[in-house]
Amino acid sequence: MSNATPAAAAAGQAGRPPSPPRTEAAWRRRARGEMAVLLSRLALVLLLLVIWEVAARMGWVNRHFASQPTDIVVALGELLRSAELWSDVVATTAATLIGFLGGTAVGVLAGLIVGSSNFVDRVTSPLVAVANGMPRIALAPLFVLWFGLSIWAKVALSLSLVVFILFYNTKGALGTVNRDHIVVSRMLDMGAWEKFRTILLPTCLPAIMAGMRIGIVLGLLGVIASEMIASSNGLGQMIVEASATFQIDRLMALILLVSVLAVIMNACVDLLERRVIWWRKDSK
Amino acid sequence: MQNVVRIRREPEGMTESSAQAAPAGGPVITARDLVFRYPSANGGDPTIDGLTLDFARGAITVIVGASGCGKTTLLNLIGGLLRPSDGELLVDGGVPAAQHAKMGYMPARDGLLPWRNAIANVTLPLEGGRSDLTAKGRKERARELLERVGLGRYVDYFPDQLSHGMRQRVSLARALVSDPQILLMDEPFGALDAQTRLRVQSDFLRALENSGRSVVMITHDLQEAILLGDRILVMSSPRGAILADRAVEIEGSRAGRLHELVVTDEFRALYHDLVDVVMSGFTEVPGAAGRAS
Ligand SMILES: Nc1ncnc2c1ncn2[C@@H]1O[C@H](COP(=O)(O)OP(=O)(O)O)[C@@H](O)[C@H]1O
Ligand SMILES: [Mg+2]
Repeated sequence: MSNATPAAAAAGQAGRPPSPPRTEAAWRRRARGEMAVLLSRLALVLLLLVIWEVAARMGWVNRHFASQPTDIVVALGELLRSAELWSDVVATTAATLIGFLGGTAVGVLAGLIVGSSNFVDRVTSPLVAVANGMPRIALAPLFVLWFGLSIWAKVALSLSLVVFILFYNTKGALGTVNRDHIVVSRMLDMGAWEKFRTILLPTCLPAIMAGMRIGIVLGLLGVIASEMIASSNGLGQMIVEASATFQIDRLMALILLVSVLAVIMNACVDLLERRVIWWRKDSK
Repeated sequence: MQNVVRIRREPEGMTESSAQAAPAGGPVITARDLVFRYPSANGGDPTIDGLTLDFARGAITVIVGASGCGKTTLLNLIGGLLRPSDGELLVDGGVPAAQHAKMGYMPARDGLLPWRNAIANVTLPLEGGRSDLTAKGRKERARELLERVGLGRYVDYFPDQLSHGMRQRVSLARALVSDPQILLMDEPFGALDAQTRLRVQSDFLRALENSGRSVVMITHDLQEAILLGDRILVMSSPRGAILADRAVEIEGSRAGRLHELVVTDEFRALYHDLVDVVMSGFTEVPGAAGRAS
């Protein structure tokens, strides 16, 4: 068994772990298990939809308030065909991404700075706690006042939600640095940058990724909320419109769309996590 | 298998003329009236109080003692991770913190970086301008070391994917990769099962034989102390006093014969001798642990 090391390991960091020995039978058993879960999931969703549909048709629930799956599908079809929708999807997505990425960058950076100085931490922690305790949604009108009916009002609300999660996660992770790793860094006379690169950042990455996972959904929530309160475009605006005009089918279709958007964004973070935290591939 | 283990007792009250056959160059580590106190602990009582000791160049010096007596503290002082409160401590004639390039350090728990595979963990001491090797040269060197500790087939494995004994061997390879003159080891083989332990100990001796390296090793295992040490120091609390100082002479190579050595009469005699010393020094000090506030 020779180990042709991939050239990718140039930085000394990369290189992929050989998958741990698994028998073919074990693989097959696992695949069969996954399949069963998938099919059961699908069946459960279908069952719920059928119950909903039947309940609406039999008049058990008021179809003007609760709508019904078939009507929602029709509304969804109409929505997807309209050219207007896509510009709103883009507006919402763009604001979410900017708020999310900005909030992540600021939160991680602040977390690293505050986390590496006990003094700074003690000085700032009450301030940060108060800021984090503010009902951010209530700030939406203020942001509109500051930034007008632009994308930046949404971004500001989104960012204000994301930033604290990343801040606290990063700061907390810095406190969990392995003492032996610190000893190693000191015995090797590592400079600040090398220590950060080889020890501190990798230590924090899992917590940062966990924060991003929550952050992306919260960021989307922030944008939608901002759009619902005051905006000239975006899915949040469309939701308000649909509910104000009692188009429950359309409202439901929009909510479904937002959920799908959230799932897609979450999947992207998932993908990123698997790339960034390569050493945990096989554990868990 | 006769007379392989020879025990020599040092006279009480160690003098500077170490009984060992000290190779040229004098002692590699010298402590003179060394005092160390943790600022916040033990009500200001020193953990180490007035230690005077020489460590011979090229020898494996093993420190044994009950937990909490100050072994790790002494090792960290030698490693320059702590600064003496008083007295003098020199490593190869210089201040410890300035001698890191000459030292390899193996912490008690392997201390490997989970996000680096075995070979990338071993190259770490060669990176950051600490060696002249190219990236390729560093990997070759690391691979060589991993082969020497029997892990040539596991260079791509991450610490999570290795057994405890394998991780200790990667850690050993990392400590040796920069070819340090001085090796500091804090209970390196603790927590290993008996068979794995003998195996790793053999690997360790093989990697070290004829290298001229000076080793300071901490252990709480008397058997390990006798098998690996050229000299055994028994430390005790309070004040990190040295209760006993024994030289162990074993003819020929020890690596690969450890399991034979442990059944010799000489081994047993030294073992019992050490047990006596350790137990005589084992007096509970109520104040040491009780003063937590
Ligand atoms: N960082 C520290 N701060 C305060 N006291 C410490 C610290 N590290 C160790 N001590 C104390 O110093 C004594 C010796 O500890 P240590 O050198 O770790 O012992 P050993 O390695 O022999 O088990 C113990 O009483 C321990 O509680
Ligand atoms: Mg210790």
